[in-house]
Amino acid sequence: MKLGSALTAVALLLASTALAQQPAPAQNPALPGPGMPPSHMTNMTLSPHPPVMQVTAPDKIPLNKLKVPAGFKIELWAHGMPGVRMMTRGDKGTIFGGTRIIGRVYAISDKGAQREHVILAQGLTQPNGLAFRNGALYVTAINKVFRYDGVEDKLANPGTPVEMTDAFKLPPEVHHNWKFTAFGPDNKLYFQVGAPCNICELNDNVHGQIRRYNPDGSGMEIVAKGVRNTVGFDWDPRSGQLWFTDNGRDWMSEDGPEEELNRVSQIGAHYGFPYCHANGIPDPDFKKPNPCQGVTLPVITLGAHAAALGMRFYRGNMFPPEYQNSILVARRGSWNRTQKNGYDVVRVTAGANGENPKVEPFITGFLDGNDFWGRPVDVHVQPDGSVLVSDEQNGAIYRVSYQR
Amino acid sequence: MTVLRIAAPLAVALLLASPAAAEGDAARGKAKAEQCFGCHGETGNSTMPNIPSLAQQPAAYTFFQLFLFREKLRNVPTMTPFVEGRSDQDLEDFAAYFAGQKLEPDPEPRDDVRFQRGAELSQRLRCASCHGAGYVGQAQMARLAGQREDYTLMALEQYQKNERTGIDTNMTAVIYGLPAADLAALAHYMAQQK
Ligand code: HEC
Ligand code: HEC
Repeated sequence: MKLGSALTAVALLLASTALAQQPAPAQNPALPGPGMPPSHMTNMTLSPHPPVMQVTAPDKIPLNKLKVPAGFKIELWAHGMPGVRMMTRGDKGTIFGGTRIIGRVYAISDKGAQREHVILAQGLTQPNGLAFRNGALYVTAINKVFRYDGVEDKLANPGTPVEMTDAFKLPPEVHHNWKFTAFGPDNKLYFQVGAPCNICELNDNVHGQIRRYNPDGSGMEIVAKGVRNTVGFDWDPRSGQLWFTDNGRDWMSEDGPEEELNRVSQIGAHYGFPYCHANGIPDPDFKKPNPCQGVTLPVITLGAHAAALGMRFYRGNMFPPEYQNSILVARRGSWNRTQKNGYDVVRVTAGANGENPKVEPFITGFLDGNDFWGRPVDVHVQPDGSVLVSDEQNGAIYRVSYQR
Repeated sequence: MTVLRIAAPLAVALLLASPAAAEGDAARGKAKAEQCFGCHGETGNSTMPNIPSLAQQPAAYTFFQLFLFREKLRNVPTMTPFVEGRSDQDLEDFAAYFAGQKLEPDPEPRDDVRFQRGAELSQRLRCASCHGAGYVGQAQMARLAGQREDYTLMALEQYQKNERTGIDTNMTAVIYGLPAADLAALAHYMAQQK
């Protein structure tokens, strides 16, 4: 390209940016007026960990560092898929893997002794949310929704998906809006619209929610409000109720507020953001009288800054019977904390009404002192009862099995 | 164990999925970067409105941005032709070259009111926690110190309007709801840093 034409292109680009200008959102009351004192933790030097965009060779994945309970086995099931995160399964056994930054959707076929994968889609903005129904893969990418019909019959050449974006009318904010997406037992499509900030006041009718829709995008209902950032939910096989993880705010303290595991016993219930966190901790920046009044508190908390993301009820037949209805939760691991926390998969047991909740380790070893080498994001229960675990950092999926 | 099968229209994906490139090589980067100099300057010091200086950017930051341009995730048609079809190694080499150049800031005269407001906001919103002490950048987080003020302001506006896809979304959260005058104050303050 000659410089002259390139410069014209710059000018055109700048002109179109100017045209696209919209009014800035209303001022956030948490921001300082002149002379206002700094907030908490301002002298910390914490920052997010960089992602990995390139393939990690299998011999660079130190699988032997991982620990599982006695009788369980963990192996490398698939690899070479940078950034792989949320998993869903097609009727014919394809495992689909969503991503964030790298913008891809992977399709993984199990060939018995080995797995093969293709890049089903690329260049999307954070296609994290995947759900499967009637032969079709639904992909949610921030505010865009796509449907790949009959996808398992044409993985290598899926063609152009049906774009359903207009039907869903989702807000464009990217932060906390990489979707987790799933079909509920009611055959409705569920996903979140998270808080577009670390901490701020929200319009409860737009942000900080879990929603459900008819599969065509009609009939939207708000299932939960005051939800900061959930990236994982599932339905309790005992009650049919929705349970979800939710991540606490940053920059409040090293030890909290902790991440939450919540249960929806009433459609439309409020989970506290931004005024009330974790087990009833008032926010120090956004104050109101009785901040936790009317708020549904979590079944149990899941650690400070630990990033509790993908979760599934165990409903397989392979693990020991006491695992039935346990919840496996992938904790991707902290950045907003000097001592790293999470970087594991935990098992939560609780009654159908949330009674006697307990958390225990399930997979550990991603953390080596205060250094990590892997970041588990999602868990998926296979029909044979084994469990797949995705590791975004290494672009890998592990398989956990149990030998009777 | 895993076999990559890719249909013809996706052949480019093969290239993108190539195994981790080795460290960048600055000399190789310079030899390949000639076509960049017209816009970004031979030493990575831009003299053109809204075009960023690249000198002294952390190599990881520059690599990630070039990767995002190539995958059309940070979708800037002006930049696309310069990264299209390039290997990860090329991108690492560019990044190494510009990281080793010296930034020679040439800021507008200082405006005390905007500077003061920028300093306050930057403290309150913890810009240095991520961008490093002195805002010199670290890993995937850009150097802001001494960057062109017009470019930094444009970048902040792009984040706020969800128009710029980045390596993560923290920037949109950090400046969520900030009025235009405050974005301008931040850009001014950062441009004044050495
Ligand atoms: C025709 C002018 C032009 C040429 C030539 C050009 N660039 Fe750019 N570059 C731009 C513009 C304009 C932007 C800012 C885009 C935006 O954010 O809107 C940019 C942005 C970048 C950025 C992002 C910097 C940041 O702070 O985020 C990098 C890195 C970059 N260019 C590297 C290169 C390299 C390497 C080459 C040569 C291979 C090159 N550019 C050639 C115009 C150019
Ligand atoms: C939580 C971490 C974090 C904080 C706090 C933060 N940033 Fe950033 N910033 C990032 C990351 C990560 C990027 C790179 C994002 C991308 O890939 O686009 C970035 C990129 C930028 C860029 C684009 C630079 C370029 O060359 O294009 C600007 C400008 C910027 N930040 C300004 C600020 C300012 C001003 C503040 C304080 C008000 C701030 N940042 C606070 C993480 C942070």
